[in-house]
Amino acid sequence: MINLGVIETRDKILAGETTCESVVLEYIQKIKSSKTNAVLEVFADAVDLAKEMDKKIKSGFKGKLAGVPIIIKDNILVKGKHASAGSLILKDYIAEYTSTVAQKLIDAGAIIIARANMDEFAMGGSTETSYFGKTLNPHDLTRVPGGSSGGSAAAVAENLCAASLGTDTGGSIRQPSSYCGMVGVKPTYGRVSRFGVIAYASSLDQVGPITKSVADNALLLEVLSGADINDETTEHLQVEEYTNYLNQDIKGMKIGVVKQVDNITKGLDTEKNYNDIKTFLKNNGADIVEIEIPHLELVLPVYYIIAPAEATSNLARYDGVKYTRRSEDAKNLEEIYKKSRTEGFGSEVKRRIMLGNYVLSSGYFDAYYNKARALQAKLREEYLDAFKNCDVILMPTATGEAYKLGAKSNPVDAYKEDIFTVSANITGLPCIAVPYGVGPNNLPIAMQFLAPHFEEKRLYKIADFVEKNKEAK
Amino acid sequence: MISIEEIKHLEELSKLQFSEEEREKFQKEFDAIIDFASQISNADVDSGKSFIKTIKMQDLREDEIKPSLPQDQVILNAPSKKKGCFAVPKIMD
Repeated sequence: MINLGVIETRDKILAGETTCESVVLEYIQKIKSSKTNAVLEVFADAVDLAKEMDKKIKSGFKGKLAGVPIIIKDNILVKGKHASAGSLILKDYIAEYTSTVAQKLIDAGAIIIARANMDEFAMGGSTETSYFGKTLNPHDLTRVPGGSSGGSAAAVAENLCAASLGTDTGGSIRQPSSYCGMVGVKPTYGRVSRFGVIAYASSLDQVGPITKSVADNALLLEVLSGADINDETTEHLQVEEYTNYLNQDIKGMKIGVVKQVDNITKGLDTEKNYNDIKTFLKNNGADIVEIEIPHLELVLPVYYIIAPAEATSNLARYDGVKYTRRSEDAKNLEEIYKKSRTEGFGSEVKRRIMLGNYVLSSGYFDAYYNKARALQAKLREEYLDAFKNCDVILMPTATGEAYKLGAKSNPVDAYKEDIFTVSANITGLPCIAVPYGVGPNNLPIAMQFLAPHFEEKRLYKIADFVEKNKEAK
Repeated sequence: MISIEEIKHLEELSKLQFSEEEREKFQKEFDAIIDFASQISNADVDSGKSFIKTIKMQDLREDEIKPSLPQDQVILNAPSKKKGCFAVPKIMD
């Protein structure tokens, strides 16, 4: 049962071939024997909730996720349960309320069985910055699973759950999905509520599903999407049935390939997969259209100015007063702030807080922050212009397959890995990562498609086609 | 190169405290990051034009009184509390 995805698991439970309880027990067993450190905690009430769900199903409940075991990232709140964002400073924090996304999963019948490891406060691309130890890639235990939603992606790949939730501020769902061979979606900014999700950079953060198949992903996003009174950034647009856009033909679909991306991709491990998928799409009747995003190469510095600037403000709330951990050495209020934060945050988080304060401080504000915001507007304009000539835009997800643990210890080297993923966050566009082939070490590599705002259905249409037909070439 | 004095100022703004050793390590890393971020300095864009999502009136909720988190829940995670409040050491004599 535990090799199955969301839809199959649900259908088997609803058909009475198995029970939610037995599936949940099987997953918990598997989590206990796992060596990847993908899961931080199995929730104590998972089995009881599964038993209740079995009763509910017997009396006719048919939710979209009826009985499906799901793991959530450690920055998503469920009332009464720990959520630590991979940080010492929130180690003992217990959620006072439930996030909108978790509530939507629960209402649809899912069982949230555990929470997954992550880079501290979602800052990183390898899950090596978690206070609770690194997560290993289930395909090769000497390599990273990607990040920051590395635990979430590894958990699905290792069959520790049917699907998981991650968050994506600069690629944190899509890059680990690529490294672990899963399907990951960062929805349009404003499609999914962030209420009850521990914030990193609020103008970029989105929650999204990590799944074994495109169809599972479409179903989960149907459940997660929608306006929320508690998150003003959510749009009051009707949620589409994304699962209606599967099993379609892609003849005549216009696929944008970006000249600047072609240049960056040259010589990378991901180049072969990128070229192969272009041929594959062309052979299947899609039109490849060359487009330009003139400022694409500046998207990374723009991201590494805006995200830390927002993080600095968001993380100001961890002051040793409101959330669990106060330094024992602190004698006065000033020391409570300084010592609690110095002891509680890891080095990458400190680096980004300092960087944020640097770009926001007087004398640098215009040169960095304001300039980055202006470039953000420019990039957004360039992408929207490009969509006048194509339906979706294709690009690689990562520069290659999962790298070795400890290989990117220099911060700037690590930041450069995000070149293909940050555009979607900086522009707010929806983006899917879908596996396409392997790299030189036989490890998974995913390609990305971007669509105009709120056109997730195009992503599911093209990615589903790729997934189902890629073997045929 | 960013000076040690500037780093100390950033620590103050960030409410963080580095050791001498950490400061020196940070200085090197930070310089590389600032160089990386400075790539944007030559870009020809109008800094006055930035993208900010504007709040539409229909997004605003009705101004109704509704129950919010109860007080005991709000201070649930506080490391120190007194009479339903967050407690901190005395700040005035």
